[in-house]
Amino acid sequence: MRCTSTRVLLGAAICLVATLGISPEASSLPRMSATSGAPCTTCHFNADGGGLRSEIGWGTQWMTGAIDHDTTGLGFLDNRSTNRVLDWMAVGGDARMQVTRLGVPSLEVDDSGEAVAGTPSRAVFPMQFQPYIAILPHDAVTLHGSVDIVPFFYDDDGDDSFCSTPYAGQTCGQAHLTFDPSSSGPSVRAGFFRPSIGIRHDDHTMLTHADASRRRATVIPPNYAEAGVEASYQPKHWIRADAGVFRTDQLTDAVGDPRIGDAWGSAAYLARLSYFPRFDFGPDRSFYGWLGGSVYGDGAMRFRADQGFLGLGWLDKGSLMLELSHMKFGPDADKRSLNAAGILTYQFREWLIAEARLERAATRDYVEDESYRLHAAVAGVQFYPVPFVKIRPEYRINRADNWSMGQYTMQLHLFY
Amino acid sequence: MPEDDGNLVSRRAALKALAAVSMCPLVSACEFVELRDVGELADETPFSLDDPGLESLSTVGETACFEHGARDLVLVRKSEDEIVAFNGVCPHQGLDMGDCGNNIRPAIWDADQDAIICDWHGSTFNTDGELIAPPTTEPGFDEPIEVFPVEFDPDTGEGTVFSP
Repeated sequence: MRCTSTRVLLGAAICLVATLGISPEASSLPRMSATSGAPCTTCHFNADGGGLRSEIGWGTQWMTGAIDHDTTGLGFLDNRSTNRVLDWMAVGGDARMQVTRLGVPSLEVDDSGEAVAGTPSRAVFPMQFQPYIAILPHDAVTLHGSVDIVPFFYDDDGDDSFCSTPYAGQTCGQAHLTFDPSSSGPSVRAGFFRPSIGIRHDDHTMLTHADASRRRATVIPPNYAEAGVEASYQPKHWIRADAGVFRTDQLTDAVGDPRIGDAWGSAAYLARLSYFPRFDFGPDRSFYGWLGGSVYGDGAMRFRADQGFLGLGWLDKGSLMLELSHMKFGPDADKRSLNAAGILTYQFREWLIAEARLERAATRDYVEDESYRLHAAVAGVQFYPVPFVKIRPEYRINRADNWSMGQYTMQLHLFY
Repeated sequence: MPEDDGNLVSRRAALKALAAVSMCPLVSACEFVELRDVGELADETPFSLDDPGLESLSTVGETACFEHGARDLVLVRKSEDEIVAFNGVCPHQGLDMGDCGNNIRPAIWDADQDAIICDWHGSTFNTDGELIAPPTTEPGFDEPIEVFPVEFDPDTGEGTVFSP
């Protein structure tokens, strides 16, 4: 009986993985770093989190589930102790299905000629099906790559692009080389990857990088990437510095200003400094924090994003994260956005985490002499029924200057 | 089987949790949408190609944003004699189609198909408002776009947009 239900579950999971589409979103969860006191690289190959998990990250998730593998009949998986398929190669992946109402309320006219609010239709769609691979030819060198398959399937609009991403500035894949000769020395990443801007969130809709004057407010989506080089240096566990230089191809698209790519604007710069204090008051009373800021902008001074972030984590219990963002658009700061987000999580069990967040984006357009505001309140849980499966129901209220909408959303996340 | 020791619980307890999560659609009873300060609807709105913001319509194939009462429209100079008016908000995700304001991806007029293409996700609508190509990211989407009747006199450059 157990075997039958287990096989059904396993078969359904495999079918779902096989049929999901793909988008290049990573799955970093800042709360994990905050509640463990470990940097993102402890569990991910990416320096700023997300994507392929390291052996520690894979092993942690392998043990996270309301029902373990023995109970599901997948005990044979217990023999695995790593996500490396060869001594020099690790693999992984993320696949997500989302149920949500896409878009914002629209003005419609009913049969009596009255204006009414039109409700966006609910859509069930694949968000992500993204395999990862890391090749480790040498202790100091890692080659990391991932490809977003969904945009390739969706690309039938006949233009010159070979994949269609739903957000401006999104990419269809990333690849980079990391050179890290010593654990205490500087490391360098080079290739096509996301610059270490602020906190890397696990949600496209976060308002920290939003321009409230746009209906599609997100300016820098989580899976934004550029070609470039970034150096990181963490001489002590409590301090880290990052600096990088990048092209601006995706930034030009994301901001919607073609002049960003002109002349000196063809280069973008990044600087980031982080401080990681620890407070240990005895057993079960360990607290971890991070405090930092980043600056990211283009050489033509047409765009700049300044981030300040603060995180406080209680070991294996919960976390509070605050982020403040300032963005300026145009050489004379024709438009500015000042955004903020607060995220509170509480871990009832390793497999059941409650999350609530409040966000605000405020944009002032000095040319149009207009102000715009967006607010969001989100509450939900992250439930891991079995290892490598997460169900994430949420209720969201979004409010703009002239509309409001409340809806539930559901996400199924399979990962490895 | 231990009832609960960290990350291990009985199958019954886990199934209860799974059932609770799957009840989430009931929350849909709490869903809502609201529009504020939408303004008055208009039956008809006159325009002239000399109006600020409409100069681009002097050229065939160009588009312009147009306020028809509370409605934001996209006008297209389809030919020397004809102007077509589409709802300025794509029915797919409610995103801007007009080439104005802070829209970074204005819609494109495709003269070969006599159709307007939303540049956000590629939804393509003919001049009857019918969806002739779905959004690239959501192939099953099939909603049409609203088209507004237009009277236009190319000699004077003046016309009127009517509500459907």
